Amino acid sequence: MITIYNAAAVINGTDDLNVYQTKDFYGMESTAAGVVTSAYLGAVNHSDAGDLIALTVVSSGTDDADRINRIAAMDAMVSKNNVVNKQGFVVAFSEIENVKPGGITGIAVTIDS
Amino acid sequence: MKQPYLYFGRKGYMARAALANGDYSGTAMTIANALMLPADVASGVLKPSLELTHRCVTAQASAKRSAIVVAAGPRPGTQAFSGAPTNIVAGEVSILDSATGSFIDGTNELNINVVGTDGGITPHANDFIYLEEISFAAEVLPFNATGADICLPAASFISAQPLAYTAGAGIHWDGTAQDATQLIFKPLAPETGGGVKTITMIHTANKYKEICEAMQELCNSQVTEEAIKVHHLTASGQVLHNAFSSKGIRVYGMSIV
Repeated sequence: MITIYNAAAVINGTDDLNVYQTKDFYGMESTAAGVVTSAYLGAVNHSDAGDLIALTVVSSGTDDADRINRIAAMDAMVSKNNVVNKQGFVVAFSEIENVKPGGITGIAVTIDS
Repeated sequence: MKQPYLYFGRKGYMARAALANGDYSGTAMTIANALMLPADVASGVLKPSLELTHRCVTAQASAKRSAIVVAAGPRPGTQAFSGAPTNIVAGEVSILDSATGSFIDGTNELNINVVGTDGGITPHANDFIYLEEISFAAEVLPFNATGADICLPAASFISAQPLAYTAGAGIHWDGTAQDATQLIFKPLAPETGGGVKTITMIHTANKYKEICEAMQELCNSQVTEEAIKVHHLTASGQVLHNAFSSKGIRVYGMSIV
């Protein structure tokens, strides 16, 4: 499947709208308060690094509430990566279309150069 | 292709040979030896997320256990204190909580103040001290950074390898024998030549085969709408997937490296 990430309302940069194959998804981990980072095979296919997508969730409240929110974001991305839709793309997150599953409020894509 | 995703969360666990003066300076806790990095915890305020326990191997007389520890009593499920409770009898398991003055300093060193200083315990060198993380809290690192948790596709699972666990003589404070197993997954950053992701768990002894069976069940699960929560801590305690717990596997500690 093909998964789309749209980080910005205006698409004029390489990290504003990104497309990956589900099979190239390596996994996720918490990396900061209110942040889960997903790892993909790098779009440029260099041998030095992959691409990272930081998923930001609401981190207000207690640390345990933050933990629960981060897990919810991971659950949402698991669900997206398991969608079977051979007629089109799977939109994991879209600022333009307001597709924001699992309490994810924003994403930031870091593309290996 | 649909596939299950497995979620793991860290749990700290440390067993160490006891020191009579309780000063572990120079042997700081690390992820490798304690599966956790407790933040600076001042004397007298050891947090509820951490349980500190003493297991006696060699008996000692003459008031080696303070009145405060006597009042707290033994860990539930362990043998009662002897008739002279300030003495310590082999097999007794004492609760060392914040009232004992146990503390963790800024370099992750465990210190247990001795009897007469602030009401703790003076263990024998043959005894063991246990520090166990029992619930999620911000004072035990990492709690929201790399190493705190991970969610991996089942297809990334490479193998499991059994390890001996010898800290604390390989025995939990309740007398249960322990082993360890490493679950090895493909890396999150294979392009960098990054090493595999290794999840090390300390668990009930002689359960390697059952752990392999549990992993087989989870990797063949039909749950694809959310991550399968294999193990993690919440604010109210430990969560362990039924695929493990139903096979008599208890997980004492888990690290994610």
